[in-house]
Amino acid sequence: MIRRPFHAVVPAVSEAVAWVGALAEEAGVPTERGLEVELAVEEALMNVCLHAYGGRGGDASLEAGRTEEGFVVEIEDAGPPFDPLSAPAPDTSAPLEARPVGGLGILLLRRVTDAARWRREGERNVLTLVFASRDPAG
Amino acid sequence: MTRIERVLTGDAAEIRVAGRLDAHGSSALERELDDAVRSGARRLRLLLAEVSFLSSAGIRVLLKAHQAAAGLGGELQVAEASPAVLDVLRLGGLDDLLDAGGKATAAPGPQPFETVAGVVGRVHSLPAGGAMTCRLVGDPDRLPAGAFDAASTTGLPFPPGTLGLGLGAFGESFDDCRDRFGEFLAVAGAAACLPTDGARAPDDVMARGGLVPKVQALYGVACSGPFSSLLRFDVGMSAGSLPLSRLVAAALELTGSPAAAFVVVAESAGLMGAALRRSPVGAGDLFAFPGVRDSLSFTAERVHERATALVVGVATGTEGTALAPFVRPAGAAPLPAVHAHAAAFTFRALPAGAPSLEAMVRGLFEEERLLALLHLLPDVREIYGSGESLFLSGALWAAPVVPAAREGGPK
Repeated sequence: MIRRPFHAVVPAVSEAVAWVGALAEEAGVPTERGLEVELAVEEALMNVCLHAYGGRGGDASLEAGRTEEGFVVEIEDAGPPFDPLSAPAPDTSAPLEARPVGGLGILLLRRVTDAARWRREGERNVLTLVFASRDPAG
Repeated sequence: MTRIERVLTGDAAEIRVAGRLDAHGSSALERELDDAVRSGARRLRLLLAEVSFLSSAGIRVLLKAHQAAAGLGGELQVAEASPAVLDVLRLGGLDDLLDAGGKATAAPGPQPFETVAGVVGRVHSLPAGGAMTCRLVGDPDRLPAGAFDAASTTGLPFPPGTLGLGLGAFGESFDDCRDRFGEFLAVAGAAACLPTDGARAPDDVMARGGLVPKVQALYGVACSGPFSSLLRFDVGMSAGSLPLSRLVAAALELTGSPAAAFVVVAESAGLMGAALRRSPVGAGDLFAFPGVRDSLSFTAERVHERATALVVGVATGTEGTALAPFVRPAGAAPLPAVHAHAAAFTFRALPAGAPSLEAMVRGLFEEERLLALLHLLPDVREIYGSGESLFLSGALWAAPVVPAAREGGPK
């Protein structure tokens, strides 16, 4: 796993997502799956910028790499305790006009990850995203 | 790098995007979609065949734009999608945004455009149409001396179906309001006042249940009755922006009457006007130099561009009507003459077709922010004058006016 700091402001998100995308590619994650990794990481980082730090910016960190579980990304922030995975899933059968715009991102994050875990570690939120290897051989 | 191209045709916009629709690229698309809707687009067609990555920020922008367009009677459709876009739309349960082909319903043929006093648009005759009866209360000529008292103050209720403007304040009595009198306007059950007690922002009240906005007016015009016509205008079809005097002339032409009451809801291209900063009650010589600087604020240049302006006014195209003491020239020419107040709100798009004034006013007062309230005045100084308030696309409601006798005017 490789770790880097992330200054949590919206304009910094794209670059951080690209950093994870490049690591995923190096780790042999197929291109299509790599896009899903980026999708989930972007959502998680936007959450940190907008919810953990309320748009005011703050220090966070990002760690990514291959483990036994597969390709894993861990995002840490020092915001108030918040489990993004606890948000209720939006009703995707509702007509588009009545669909809440919030909650969509977390729905996508859940659907593209093989596992997503949140824990509070001291003063920090830690979100772990797991993208299992889908190597047909193993 | 995200590339966005837009083609606007009538109320349809085709937007082609290439590159990544991530948090960064989506904010560019969001601005583009917002601009398209501001320019009158209601049917948004997105061509996303060259989008390599669509993030959750991107689909939020698509869903929000679809909801905005649907609220205005339109829709957003993804007409072409790359595999990455298809995957994410399906994952997010947003397949319905995909153009199913043939889903478009045959729209009724558009109504022809007309030109009313040089304003190009579509004219709708309103079914309930008739004339408005207007009360003219108080005496505007008392303003310079600030010679107002309890006896010259009138409590004016503004339930739905009325409009009004003048100098007043929310309150129960003259004494209650004496330090707060300022510009006010009222329409469709909503009223706004600009207090002169140092408050920075206007106050507003909406009729709800049994509650009706009530203004204590030093002077003003209060009209009730239905509008007779609606002109939906679009500067895309005229040249440049429309000055207030042209809209006033259009209101008079639509009603075919020497006097008219009107309401404009339009995107502002810059408002010109003034607002009282001190209550005129007992203020002495309000307009004497240099004290006038403290008692009145003038816009030195156009303000609140791109805001949605709600303008309420009365106008006349001839001299010698009962409205005369209440109106001033709308532009450089002596006629038409007008008394108009404008409330500037954060931008709100007007629905297509013949929108409901009540719904639009409710949306503005309940969901947008009221930024300012001013008495519209042209700056007609030669060379340095900034001219009139200007408007882009919008709607003009007008009714002929039957002025009642003046109340509380000079005996």
